[in-house]
Amino acid sequence: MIRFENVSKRFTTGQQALLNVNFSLERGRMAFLTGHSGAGKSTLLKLIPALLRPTAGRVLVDGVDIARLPDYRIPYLRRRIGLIFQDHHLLEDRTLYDNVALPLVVSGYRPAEIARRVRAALDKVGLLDRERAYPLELSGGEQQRVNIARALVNRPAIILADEPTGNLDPDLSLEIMNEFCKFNEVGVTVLVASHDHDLIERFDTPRLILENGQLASDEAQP
Amino acid sequence: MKQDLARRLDSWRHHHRQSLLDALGRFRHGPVGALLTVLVIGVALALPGVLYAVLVNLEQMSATWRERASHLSLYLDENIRAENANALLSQVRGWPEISEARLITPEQGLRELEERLGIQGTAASLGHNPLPTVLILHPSPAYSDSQHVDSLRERAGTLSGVARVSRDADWLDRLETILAGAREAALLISWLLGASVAFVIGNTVRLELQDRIAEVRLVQLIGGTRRFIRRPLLYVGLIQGALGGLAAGLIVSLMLALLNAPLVALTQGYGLVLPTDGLPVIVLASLIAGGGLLGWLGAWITATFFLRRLSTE
Ligand SMILES: Nc1ncnc2c1ncn2[C@@H]1O[C@H](COP(=O)(O)OP(=O)(O)OP(=O)(O)O)[C@@H](O)[C@H]1O
Ligand SMILES: [Mg+2]
Repeated sequence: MIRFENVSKRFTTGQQALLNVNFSLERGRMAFLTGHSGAGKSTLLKLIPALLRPTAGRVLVDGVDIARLPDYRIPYLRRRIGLIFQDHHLLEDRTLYDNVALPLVVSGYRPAEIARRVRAALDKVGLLDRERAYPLELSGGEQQRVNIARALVNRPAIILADEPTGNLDPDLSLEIMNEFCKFNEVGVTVLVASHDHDLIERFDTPRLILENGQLASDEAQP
Repeated sequence: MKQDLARRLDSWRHHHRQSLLDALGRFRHGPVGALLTVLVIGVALALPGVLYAVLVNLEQMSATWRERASHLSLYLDENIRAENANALLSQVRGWPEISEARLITPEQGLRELEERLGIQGTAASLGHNPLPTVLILHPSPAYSDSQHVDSLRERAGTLSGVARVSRDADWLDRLETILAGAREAALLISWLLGASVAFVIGNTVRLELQDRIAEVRLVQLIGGTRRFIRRPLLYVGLIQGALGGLAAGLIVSLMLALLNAPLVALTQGYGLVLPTDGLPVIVLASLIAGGGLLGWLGAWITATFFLRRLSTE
């Protein structure tokens, strides 16, 4: 589903964020992406929905080299990927409902279908009764759950999460990680970046370990 | 495949409606800013609008005046004898480019003059009649353009017994030359002010995008196309531009109404009739359509460049 072939990323500042990265994550698999701060985790994730372009090598999603996708196809690639970010990226002037509905609005769904799917997604993260609330009325953990609901609502084939448990307490972190495992169980390909070792240790999910932009271990390979 | 197309068409229409509502919603959120933009555009378009309206009016006038005033006046030698004058009359009547010819004897001329001035016995007081015999030539419609009239005038000047030929429409030629120049100038001014309208809208759209930059970035992140982000802004440009054109139309009408009284007084002094229809419909329509088009264009260019720069950051 996701395949990196000799991928390097060098920023215009000269910073070599990734060097010669090779891995593949098959459809329906899940992996953790770990490594120290600045190791290149976010950079690697951003290459998949073409938020960044590699300076060398190929990134393939579902067998397609995304460097070959013309600009106008990129949005359609992104619609198949649920993204969860380190910082929340919720629109503060919109209700939870509207925030979660955004990917569907963007994809051109009709209101009735949007309502059905938004409620299902909010229900899944346990926030159905808060749909009229605004993000700032929510705790950090609740906001992160809204983020997850928004990433799910489009029923993506791939979920990419960058530090989804960033500033959450251990209990909530575990709960959210369990959530990702559940998506994976229903066939979604999941890649979660995290440097929370204690948390990761509790799962027997394969790990991709980055060190200074290079893959140290490649346990996700079949 | 067919169903997919139908669905996409449906969602496309849906998004257009949403975008329109969104654009209208923005007016409700910032009515003062939107009103100011509309007024700025109205003022910018008013100048070309006034020029255009005056030009349209003058051109109509010039056409009617030309119909009436294309005749030549042949002033005959002072002491010409009546039979020679009549001979000249029948000679020019034989020319194919003449539709009508008429002789005004000094006596008739004096009578007309006295009638028009409302006085009597001028000749008696002067002791003699100072007016010459005049032969009036009306070219037939096919020959009434200035080139033909000029050659006719030359030909008439060579006739023996003709002292001088004058053409009442000489000033019309000059007017039309001036009008042609004015039309060029108006066009140039329209281009400049039209560009300024596109800039004003472009600036509004840029501010709008900057204001909602978080949302724009997010929409790009979750797979919103450039077109999707741009669409409501195009409606904003179109609506503000068209409303600006309408405002310009109102300003122009007002200016024409204010100008009307002095213009009528001026032209009546010269015995001319000015058509006083106010703002021609064609001008109003052009202002609204032009404003809308420029607004749309300004919004399109700004949004496209803004989003392109954003996605290559
Ligand atoms: N836009 C950028 N321009 C220049 N350098 C960058 C840019 N983004 C990241 N980097 C650099 O690339 C390296 C990898 O950054 P990245 O954000 O991928 O690290 P990370 O593993 O996600 O770290 P963290 O755990 O702190 O989030 C860092 O050294 C960073 O300074
Ligand atoms: Mg990071």
